[in-house]
Amino acid sequence: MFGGASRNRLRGNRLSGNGYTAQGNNFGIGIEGTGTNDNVVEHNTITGNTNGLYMTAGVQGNIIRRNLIVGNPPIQVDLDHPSAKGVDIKNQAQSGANTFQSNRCLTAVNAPCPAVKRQPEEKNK
Amino acid sequence: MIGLKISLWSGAFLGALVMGMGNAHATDIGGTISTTLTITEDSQLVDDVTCTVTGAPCIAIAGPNVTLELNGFTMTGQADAQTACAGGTPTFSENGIDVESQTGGGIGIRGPGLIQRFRGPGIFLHNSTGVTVTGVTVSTNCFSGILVGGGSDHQISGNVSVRNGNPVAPCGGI
Repeated sequence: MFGGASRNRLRGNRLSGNGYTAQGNNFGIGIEGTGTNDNVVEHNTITGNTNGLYMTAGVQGNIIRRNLIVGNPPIQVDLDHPSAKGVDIKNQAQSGANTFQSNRCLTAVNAPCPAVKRQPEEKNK
Repeated sequence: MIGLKISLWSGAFLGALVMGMGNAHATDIGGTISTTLTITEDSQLVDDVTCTVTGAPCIAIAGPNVTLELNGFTMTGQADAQTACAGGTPTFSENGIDVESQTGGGIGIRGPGLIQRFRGPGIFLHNSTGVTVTGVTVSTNCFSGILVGGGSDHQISGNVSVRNGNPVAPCGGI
């Protein structure tokens, strides 16, 4: 999503194997550019992409919750293209500008990524 | 023999139905599309589609409350089968399904169905409002599988997006 796309809901999608390693900023799901705000990204499975979730500076009000975001990039990319430096969540927006809740991930920049285990609020669902 | 004749006739009819057609109301779509097919009423795929349109969308949805049912069929563009962007010059506007500046709401793109090998995005929602995309598989498209540029209030759910991307622009699954 880019160019001021707002109030969209991305739910229950499966995204894998997306992105060119050499580009570095390809992704499973992207939230890009000023005004791309107030979107909800939930219950998606995002694995094996150049980056998992990619957010640029300036985006705000987006809610990222209950997604499985792991294995971005896959290990063969890490090993064969160490300069790629992809992660599961790459958040370049200001801290606190967007909301992250109960995502399962392993690597992140400027986003909580505690573990892949279930978070407390998910246990009874 | 009768079955074969019916099948051949159907194939010829479908090919003739969409080839070179610029605008269409309720349409059964299949065969080859060589110029952008613009639909303004509910339509469906009734066979696989091969798109030979260059530098423009394959199917464009115009008008509110229009649903395109893919019915399990495949739309295939002209990009490279392995790397998409290596299949000639990447062309942003050469996408599979295009929704451009439609703000009336009620537009739907429904799978199951596969949109693959376009030199632009598989599906491009640009400056539009209230589009629903569900159950679609988008694969091996240059730029993003489903690209949302501007606009608002879309519901994008239950889709599978794999092997999309771009060597220059930040793109990917959705």
